[in-house]
Amino acid sequence: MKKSVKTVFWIYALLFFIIIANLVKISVFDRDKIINNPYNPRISNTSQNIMRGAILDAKERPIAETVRYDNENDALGRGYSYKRVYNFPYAFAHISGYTGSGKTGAEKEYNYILETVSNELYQTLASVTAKKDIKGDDIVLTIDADLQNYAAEQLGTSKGAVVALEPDSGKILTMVSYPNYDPNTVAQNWTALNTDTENSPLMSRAAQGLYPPGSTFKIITAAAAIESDPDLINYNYYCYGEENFDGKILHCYNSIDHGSEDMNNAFAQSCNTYFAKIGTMLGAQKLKAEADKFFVDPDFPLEYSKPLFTLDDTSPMHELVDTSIGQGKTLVSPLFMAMVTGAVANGGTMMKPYLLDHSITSFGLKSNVTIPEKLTQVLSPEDAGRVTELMKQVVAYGTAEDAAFSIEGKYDSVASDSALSASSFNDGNAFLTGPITVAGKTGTAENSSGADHAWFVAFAPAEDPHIAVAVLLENAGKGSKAIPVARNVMKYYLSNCYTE
Amino acid sequence: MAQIVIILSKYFFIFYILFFLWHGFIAATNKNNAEKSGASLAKQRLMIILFHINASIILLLADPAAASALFSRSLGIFVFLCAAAYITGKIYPNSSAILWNGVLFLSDIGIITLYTLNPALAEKQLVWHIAGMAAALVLPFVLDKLPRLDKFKTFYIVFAIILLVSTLIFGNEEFGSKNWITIGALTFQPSEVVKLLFIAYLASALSQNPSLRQLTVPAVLCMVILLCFVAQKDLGSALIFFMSFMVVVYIATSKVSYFLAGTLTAGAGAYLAYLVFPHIQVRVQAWLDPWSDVANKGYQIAHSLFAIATYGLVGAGLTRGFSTSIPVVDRDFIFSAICEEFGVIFGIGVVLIFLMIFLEGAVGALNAHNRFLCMFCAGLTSLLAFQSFVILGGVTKLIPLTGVTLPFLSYGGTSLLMCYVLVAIIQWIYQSCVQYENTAPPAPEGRPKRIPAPKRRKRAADEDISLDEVLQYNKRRKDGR
Repeated sequence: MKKSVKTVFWIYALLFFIIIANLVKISVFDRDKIINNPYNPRISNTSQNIMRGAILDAKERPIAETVRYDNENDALGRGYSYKRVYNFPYAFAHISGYTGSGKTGAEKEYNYILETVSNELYQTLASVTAKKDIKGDDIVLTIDADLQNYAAEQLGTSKGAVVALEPDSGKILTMVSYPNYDPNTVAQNWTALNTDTENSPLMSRAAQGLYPPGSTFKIITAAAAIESDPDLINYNYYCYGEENFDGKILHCYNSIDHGSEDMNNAFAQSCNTYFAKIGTMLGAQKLKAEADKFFVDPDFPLEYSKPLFTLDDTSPMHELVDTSIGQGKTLVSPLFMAMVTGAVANGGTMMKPYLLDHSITSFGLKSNVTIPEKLTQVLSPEDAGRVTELMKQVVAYGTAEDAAFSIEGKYDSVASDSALSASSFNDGNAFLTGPITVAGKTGTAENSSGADHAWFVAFAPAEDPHIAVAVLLENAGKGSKAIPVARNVMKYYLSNCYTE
Repeated sequence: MAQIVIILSKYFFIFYILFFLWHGFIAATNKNNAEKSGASLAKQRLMIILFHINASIILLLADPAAASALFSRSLGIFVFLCAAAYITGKIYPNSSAILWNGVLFLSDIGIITLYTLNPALAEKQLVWHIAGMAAALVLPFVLDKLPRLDKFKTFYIVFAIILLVSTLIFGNEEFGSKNWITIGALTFQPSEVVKLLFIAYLASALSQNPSLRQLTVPAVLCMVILLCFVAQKDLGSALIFFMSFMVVVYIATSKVSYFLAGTLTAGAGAYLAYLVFPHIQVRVQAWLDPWSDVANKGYQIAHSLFAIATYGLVGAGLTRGFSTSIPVVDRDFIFSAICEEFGVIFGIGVVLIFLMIFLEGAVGALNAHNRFLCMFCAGLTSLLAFQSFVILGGVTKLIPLTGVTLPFLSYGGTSLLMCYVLVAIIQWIYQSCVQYENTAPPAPEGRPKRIPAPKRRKRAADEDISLDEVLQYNKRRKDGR
């Protein structure tokens, strides 16, 4: 009897120690995941009493910072006021977002870090004794402001987006959209910004815009073919410029007759009938199986739209044909196409795209460091190599010959020469020099809103990729229009920003 | 200024609770050394007082408008704590002071937390604490007058069944369970009393080492009551009730096989209930994956976890939590609010205070010289322990959530009162055992009536001394003095 009481004694102890162990698990190991759930009301809280942390670029230059104005009295009557200032108002608009009555972008996603007062006791004491500000933690993004500004300049006033990422980590290198807005004046211009449905400047086209992928989708069709049988690369077909698929008449671009071709030529010349033929040979099931591997939820930190792929066994023939060449009902964002390109560049491994490199506490220590994470394996390294070969030929002799470039040295000024002529490279210290092999794919997406959208996706250097880029220009016509933008961004990054 | 006090106090609070626990440990391991354990108990009380003063200062600073009202309430609680500590020592001279200290500290933490959530409720709660403490102080006199507690088994079980049946007939639904009875302005859960009565019944029914046949009647009755709880959708009570039943049966028989058989049967029953009742399925789904449906099914558990995890180990600071976002925060989820404002380390301290209380209860059972008292004490301790476990585990997503109150912390009139009654009975048993154990030192020479103590001899582990023997001995000692 006494022995059983002792056993019960130990059972109590065990049960309550399990509770304690679970509490530690929740509050230490699962904490980040729990905190960042969008339903947690604590993360959207902002305090008037503290100076919100700054959003910094990859080189720790402030993109958004809170400035103290000592002579302006605010609502709290403290004799000073805080104001949020955005230093790169247009280029970074969709990245930083804004904070005010509502929040978007990094201001929203990383609000909790920006409002976290580290070393709280020290800071509070300093604020009382030395009238210092109580400051939230700063966040450091993966984006270099130079590249972002350069990409924005390259995009200019064409509606569209540029997204570049590092294939082996998923780090976002640049992400710009146009039309954009100035977060400094978003409150004043609220009605105008919100009612401008034609330009929708508040929307990040890079992450939220959904477009038909056009011929860039042939990367996935080709991958499906190669995965089912690598010998299909040698499959020969005669293109007459158009073909009848069970009543669906499909044309090549401008009905150009590509003649006898294998997959290399067809991919380089972006032949529609060839890939529609491949699509019908594979069937809807195999194409869907391949697409499902690529169409994963990017789980991107900022506002984004998930890509759509609706083909299945029950879809009619014309839909299979259209889908194989990137028309049909498939819709993708430029961010997603950059991920697809990055996955091919990274030996078939798609990395999770990320924007936050780390945060910095008030004592200058690094915190919240992002560790690159694999999202999914879309292709085997061998098959990814085969697709890379196809993409190299697009630039070598196909529709994107214009994408090739070579690096002479560092580019010394962002503003002086947007065409990157040889004379503007006066510094021989670039990390890479000489001609760079580029692998890419053009796309011309037919759509209901008017002229075709121009796509170009690429990565470089093809042998050891450091950057994957996707460019979309709305209603720009032929895909080749997007090539110079992508090329210049890659060139700028590899000559100026890339360092091992 | 207030901010500095709040931030500094986060660390002070952690210190108070850890120091309190440490001295609880010293007092528990030095029970034979009156001086040492006395000093530790005094330090524990000092910690309660410091905690109370510190928390009151924060409440005053945070709400200067209500300062004078708050000050008098805070003083009222202070007086209650001191008086309770003093009078329990007088009325229960040989009870476990560690247990009383634990109860008082928890009570203060509960009232202070309620103040930050809803001052009106905190004031009501204080009244309930006073009522509970008053009941606890009256109970030993009543119990001393009832010498044969183990002879009323029929009364216990009949009364329990009457209560249950009347709940089924007259009960109204609150918080999703149809197990409340309203008499005038008073709403209470008869299930709390039923549990106590059944433990009393069980302890008396099994006070002779029972055979398997003799176990049948209690087991069947247990099943009936369990089904009633399930029918009332009071799953928390069902769980607490069943686990306490198993503990008492295990202590009575010392047979692990019964324990395993019971657990397996219950597991099968629970699975069956899961298949039959949709509301159980909803709870299990919310437990398995609250994140996929935070807006509806997973709402409670997800918001509880947000509260616990967001401000981490040292918490947001008293008054700085997001208590309004936590569902049923003043009752079931008060522990989440405590973790949010005082931090998880403090929360772990609270869990350890509970453990300390229950381990003292187990010590009471261990020292009992009578099968009935041993099982009764262990059963009552189990009621409290499993009640705490079920809700602590529920709000931390360790087990599916079932709504029960957290003893001494949650707001709730009759459930708080019942907790005091349970603790009072546990303490009464504890003290009758200690009195029995401390065989009287020889009285001074020349004293006319010297009562000889029962001969102390080495007893076999399971040998009994009847409750009568103990009580009569105690009575004679008292009279003789």
